[in-house]
Amino acid sequence: MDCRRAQPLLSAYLDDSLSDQRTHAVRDHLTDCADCRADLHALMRTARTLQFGRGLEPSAGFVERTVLAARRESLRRRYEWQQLGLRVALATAMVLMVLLSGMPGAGQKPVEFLQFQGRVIRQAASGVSTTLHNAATDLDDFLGGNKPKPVADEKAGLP
Amino acid sequence: MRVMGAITLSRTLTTADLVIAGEVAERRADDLALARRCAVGDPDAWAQFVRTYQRTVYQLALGVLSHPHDAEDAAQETFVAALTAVRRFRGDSSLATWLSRITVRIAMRQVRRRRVRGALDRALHFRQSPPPPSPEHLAGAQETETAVWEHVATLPAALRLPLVLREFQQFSYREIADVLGVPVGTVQSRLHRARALLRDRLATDRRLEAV
Repeated sequence: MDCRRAQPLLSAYLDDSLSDQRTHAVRDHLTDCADCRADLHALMRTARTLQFGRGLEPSAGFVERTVLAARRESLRRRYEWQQLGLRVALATAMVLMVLLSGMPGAGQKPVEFLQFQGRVIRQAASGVSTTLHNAATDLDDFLGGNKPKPVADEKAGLP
Repeated sequence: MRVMGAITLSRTLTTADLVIAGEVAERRADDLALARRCAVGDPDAWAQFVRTYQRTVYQLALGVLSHPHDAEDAAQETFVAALTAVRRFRGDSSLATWLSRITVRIAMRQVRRRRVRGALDRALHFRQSPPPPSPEHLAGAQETETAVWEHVATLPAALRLPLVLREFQQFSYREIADVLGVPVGTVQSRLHRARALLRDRLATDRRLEAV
């Protein structure tokens, strides 16, 4: 190996990041070449001096400020998801209402049908999955001609 | 044959290699445990996470932005982004590498914003674009630290980042390549150029004569 090929490898040699084969080649070259040895020593000095930059930290209170900012962001995102969930639930309830208003029986039992719609909306607010499940059960009952079963508020998760 | 396999076969495994592999595995397990605690919102884990990696993130952000206030903003943004997405950390890399990738992405976004803002200012003649940033007057930093970082800030960004990751964070060449998305050979040549450029500057700086 000559100087032209050894020079660009000196830095990686210093970091012990060369393959075994290249490490041996550079080491052999350094044994014979005083110029490259001098360059390697200069690189070592540079690396030693650079170590004095390692301790640099952000200003005091950074950890506390950052944790607080992360907590705030986390709450904001959770709130946004809850809002989104609520909107989806309400939208689902509205779609169900529109669909159900065209069902057979809607015009025959107006009072019971309105009660049924009100229950669907309240249940939707407690979650899409619960709403869909309960609505499907109620729909079965309703279409089956049975009187809809009363749904307890606690079951719907509402006050 | 896979590249990793070729590299492994080209070297003889020594006891030292096995010890290093064991340490890496232990660190990964610690990383994963900390990430899981952070994912469930444990406030102590969050503080530990930020405390452990604040130097890594801040110094890397400073390496990209060369301005302490901007670097601190970017570091905070990085931690907020990381903590709100930490459940997606799978332990494929170390937490330091994972965080470094986020830091570079966020800091580079700040650089682009800064460029757009500077271009707008110049176009509208509102005010002179800000002077070239320098990490001078770093809060609480010692003179030698400041001197070193001032010299690092004079390097082109492409050389600065691998240097910061190697010299200040002791990342391996492969980890640096992973963070920056470049081949290992590129990391090697950039590091060599960065050190060669700094060699004379550091040697002639009087503030660093004593060290």
